[in-house]
Amino acid sequence: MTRHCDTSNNGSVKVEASREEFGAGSVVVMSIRCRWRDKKLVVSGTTSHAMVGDVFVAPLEVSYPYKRTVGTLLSRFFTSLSECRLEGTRGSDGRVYFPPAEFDPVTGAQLTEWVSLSDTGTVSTWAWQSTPVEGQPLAHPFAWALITIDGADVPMLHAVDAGSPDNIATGTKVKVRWAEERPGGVTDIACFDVVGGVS
Amino acid sequence: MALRDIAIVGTAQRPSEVNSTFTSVEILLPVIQQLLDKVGIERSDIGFWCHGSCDYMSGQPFSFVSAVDAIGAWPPIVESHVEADGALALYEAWVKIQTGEVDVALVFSNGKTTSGPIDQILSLQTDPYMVAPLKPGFDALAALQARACLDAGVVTERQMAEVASRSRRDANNNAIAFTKGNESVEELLAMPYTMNPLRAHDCATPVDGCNAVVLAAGDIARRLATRPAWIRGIDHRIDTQRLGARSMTESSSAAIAAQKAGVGKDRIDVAELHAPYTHQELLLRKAMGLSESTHINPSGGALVANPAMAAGLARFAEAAESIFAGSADRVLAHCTSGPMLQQNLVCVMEGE
Amino acid sequence: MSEADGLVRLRQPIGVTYNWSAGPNATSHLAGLIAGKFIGKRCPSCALVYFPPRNGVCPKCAKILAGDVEVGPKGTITTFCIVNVPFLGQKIKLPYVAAQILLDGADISMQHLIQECEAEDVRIGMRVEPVWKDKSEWGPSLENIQHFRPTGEPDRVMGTESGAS
Repeated sequence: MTRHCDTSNNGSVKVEASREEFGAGSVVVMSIRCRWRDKKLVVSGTTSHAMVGDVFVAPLEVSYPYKRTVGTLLSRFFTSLSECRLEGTRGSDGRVYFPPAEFDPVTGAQLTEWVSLSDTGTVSTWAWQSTPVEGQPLAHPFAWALITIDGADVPMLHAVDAGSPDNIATGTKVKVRWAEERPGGVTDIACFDVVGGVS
Repeated sequence: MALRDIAIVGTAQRPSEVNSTFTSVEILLPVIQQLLDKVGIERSDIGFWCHGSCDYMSGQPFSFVSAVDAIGAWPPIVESHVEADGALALYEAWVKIQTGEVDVALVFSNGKTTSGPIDQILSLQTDPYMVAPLKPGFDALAALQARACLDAGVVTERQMAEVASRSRRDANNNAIAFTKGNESVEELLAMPYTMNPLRAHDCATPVDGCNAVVLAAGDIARRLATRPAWIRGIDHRIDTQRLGARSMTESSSAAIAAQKAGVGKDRIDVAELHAPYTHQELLLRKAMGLSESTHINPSGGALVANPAMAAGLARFAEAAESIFAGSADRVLAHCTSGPMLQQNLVCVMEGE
Repeated sequence: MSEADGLVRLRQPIGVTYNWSAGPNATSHLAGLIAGKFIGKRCPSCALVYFPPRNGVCPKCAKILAGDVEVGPKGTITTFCIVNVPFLGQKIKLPYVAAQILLDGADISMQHLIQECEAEDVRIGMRVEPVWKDKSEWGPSLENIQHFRPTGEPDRVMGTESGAS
């Protein structure tokens, strides 16, 4: 909301900022340039700074374009994922991990035995994301779930596009939905879909 | 090597707030000064300073270590810091005093939790290949654990609401707490889910806060406090980071840490448990074998004020204060870190 | 997904946006920059003048800084570095000089660029002055200053100044 702008000269004006941009109660000061052109007032401005009370505030964006090396075992895993295949590894006690474990979480032994798995699984626990955050697997409400892939023993985390919390429970059968574009990573699985009823 | 007797001899906490416009250093400095005045010592009396916090709280590289400005590092001091809660900094300080190199340590912690999207920030500590790219928030991970506990019959939604109702009532008597209330269990159960099966009151309130405690050994502790809170046992255990590979319905690391810290050796009058979610308090009570006679979180706990990186040390401060006040003789302080109670530090303290 | 030595590399960017607050003790400093002035703050205990007023606290005394002190605009180079390594997003021509400048009246130095002279002519003790950007570009930041340039005055011998370097 503009307060007062002196249109005879370039000046500054205080504008109430949005809560999301600068935090609750902040005021943004903008440098406004007012010029008359062909009998029309042209106003342009840039944000000079923002304040909450007497204190200067600003949004701080921190981002890093990480490129992660994944090592030998996970290279095989991510390659197979991009080819729409699921492969897990067998642990020291015979339990099969999907996604594969490089080292046994209990004994620390390096794991080398691969196990081919189907693309279906069972929900072992779930929660409902009623307001998704940008970057999560789905833009509409969805379920988070720990999913035990058929043939595996240790579950994985992913999203289930269940539509409603009434359509998912511990024991629900789900199936992989592959992403159309698979640039690499666990998001090559777009999410899981519910198939059939609760087991 | 015989262990030295080490005690907490003083504590200070800043009342919780949100959206603070002070810098971390401006928040910390008065609390540290307040503590030194309370205990009756100078900065030069401190042999070792140990700080718990994390750059991720404010997003600025070195914002954590720049808090050294709050303790006046001139002449040069002996200092360390841990990228973790202040309770873990206390463990390091305890070890430092055990070596005999120093006799007095000041431990402090802080977190401007509300200056960023804490739910997403905490999720950045998860597996970078398999979990973090999906961006599950910290509440979502806790909710998965809660659902598993409910389905297994280990906790009920009513029990979770009881924890919330009790904590919010107790918070009315705690100047440090932020969320206070007088709701009944029925009123809380009638509220909608925010992250099914969690409701808003099942999740801790993120706040900006800081705190500090002084540790001292032997006769020095007896000089500095009328009734020092002696550390009789302290232990820290970590479960596998792999979410699916550990039980969702019990906390083995909390159980082992409690056993090693000597929880079961005698009654516990007060247990200050760092449980950012209601179902986690229930899991911890079970894991540590706490009886019905133990008073859980008289402060209201982390549920009513959760300053990231400082909520654990706050439990130590509250537990120690109950010994100072004479309202408890044997207490337990606990700190957790990581999703779904992955790491647990347990400490038993006694008054003489 | 890319490969190097037969191993997979995944692109996994992360990004978080925070609300950063400069704190009440930085207000006069930042407001000063908007007005084209260098405002530092004094420690009530040791009387050292800090520009910038780091976290609003004296790191030696652990006291909140109090009392605004205008410093500069000229200063003396206390140390410097000739940079030959390019960085991402660089706009300045190589080699360039980054220097610690002790503004007149301040007790800690600040870092900025030295331009308008050959890199090999920069020396400790050199007197410099700020060259400001166009006023329309000013905000609460040391970026209001494009760079520092030599004033041509005789060098100031270090050790005759008060306080820290």
